[in-house]
Amino acid sequence: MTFLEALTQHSFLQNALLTGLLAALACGIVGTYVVARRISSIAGSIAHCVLGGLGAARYLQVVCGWEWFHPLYGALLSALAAAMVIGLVSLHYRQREDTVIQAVWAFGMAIGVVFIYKTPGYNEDLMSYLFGNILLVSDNEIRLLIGLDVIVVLAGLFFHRPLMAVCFDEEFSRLRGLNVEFFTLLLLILTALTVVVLVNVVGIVLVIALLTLPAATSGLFCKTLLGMMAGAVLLCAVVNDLGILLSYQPNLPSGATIILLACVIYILALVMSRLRTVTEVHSKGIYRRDAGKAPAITDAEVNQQP
Amino acid sequence: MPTHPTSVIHQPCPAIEVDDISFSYGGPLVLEDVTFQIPRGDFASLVGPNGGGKTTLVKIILGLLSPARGSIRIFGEPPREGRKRVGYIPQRPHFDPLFPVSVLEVVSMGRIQKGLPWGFLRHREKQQSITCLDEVGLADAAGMSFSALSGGQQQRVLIARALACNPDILLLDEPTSNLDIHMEEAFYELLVHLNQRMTVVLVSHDLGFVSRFVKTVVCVKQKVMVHPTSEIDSDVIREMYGGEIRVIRHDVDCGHFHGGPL
Repeated sequence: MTFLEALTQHSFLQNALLTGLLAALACGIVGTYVVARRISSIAGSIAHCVLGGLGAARYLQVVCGWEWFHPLYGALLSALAAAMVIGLVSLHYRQREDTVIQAVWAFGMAIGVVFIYKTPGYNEDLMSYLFGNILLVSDNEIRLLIGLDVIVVLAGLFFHRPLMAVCFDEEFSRLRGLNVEFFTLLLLILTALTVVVLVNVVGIVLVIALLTLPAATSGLFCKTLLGMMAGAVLLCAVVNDLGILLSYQPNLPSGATIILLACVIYILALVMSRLRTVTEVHSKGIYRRDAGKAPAITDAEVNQQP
Repeated sequence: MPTHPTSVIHQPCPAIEVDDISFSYGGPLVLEDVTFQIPRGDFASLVGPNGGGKTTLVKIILGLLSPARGSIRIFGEPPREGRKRVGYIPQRPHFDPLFPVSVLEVVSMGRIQKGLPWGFLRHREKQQSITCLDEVGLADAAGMSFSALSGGQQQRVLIARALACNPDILLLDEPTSNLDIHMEEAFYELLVHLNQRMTVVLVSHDLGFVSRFVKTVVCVKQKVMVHPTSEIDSDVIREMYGGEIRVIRHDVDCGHFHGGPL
């Protein structure tokens, strides 16, 4: 059966493709901020903490009878908690930021392992969150993902200017009267929400790659955050759905296929942009920091000031 | 405090008023009993050796650090209020060189105000930003990537961003540390031009070059001394610093004078 035939017959495939597209929206927008602000290790820490929330939620479901407490709610809560802890540390105790990021990372995973171990029954599906299984996304989960998407997209675009200003120059933003603490935490909360979305697609372990690679690829060709976001959303949508398509016939794990695809595209783009830089510098003499050429605009203009 | 001719006093309070400030980061005092004023319309330079407390003083003036003792007034207001009227230009190495941002976006950050920071750049803000870029001679670069500019051009973009704040004081922290000598000349001419309509305060470790342009020199090395440049002839400089200006440019002798009682 070809992929297209399967797609018309199986709603799980339709759900998977839809999830890939929904995830791309949040991933492209937040991934761009993550890459520009260089906080991918924070994103990684938040992602791994999610296992703690998943495990705890399943334990509460099975052992305490909280039927309504879907593991994704646990994931959401633990991601937000990790974001708040790391955010407050990075705002008030920056000297030890890296230690705390790694500690939160390990702490979350350890909690998850303990709860999964102590939960009776078959918990294989929790392990699928580690490497993701986009083919298992249910209608209910899609509704939750749409909700998260709406929040992330609206906030990411609505607060675009202050987020950009705070990421670029925190001190200046503070002097202009922006609430730097608020926007720093907001960015981490948006990252946490996006991580929860992406855990469904590629799993905890691969989240950082999907969050950063499309944005970094796009960043090679775009000189503004908004351009980078548009490129990253597009690219992420392509790798998600192309990954599902490519993995379907040979029965490869979809999450890993998606990430491999993103890596290959990034490497190709990197080579292309290097080549382009070299030819540009040679043909136009445009100044680039790494090429050490003369400025394109001379300083004569300043001398013309009255 | 001598009044400079250009700071014709229509209004009572000076641009910056530092009154008996002391500050430490928990160890020895970085600044001690610092008192000085910078009148409106002045072109002042804060000079002193590295580690002498210049940047600390700037951060206190901007309200980013709170002094253990003493008070600051910017146009008669406390720093957190008064700093809205300050266009601040930080040292350039402070930035991520790969940050994806256009020149126009950097400048328009100066238009961000508390209360209306949302959404996208409005047309009017864009026009204002381009006007500011034009003033530093870089209007053509508006669409370019900030990271693709040379050090001197980035410095001017940051000045344009400060101008976009509509400042009454321009405060620059070590602006020339990345410029070569012939660019410095053009750079100071730009500052002199801007000084016609606003107070300029320049932090520098390099008095030798600065003294040709500035009206007041504020020497910072834990304690502070103020010298109107008009009083500084070559004899005074030699007496103050115990040597030629070249010596000061290497930050060797500033302490020789200021180490003693004030």
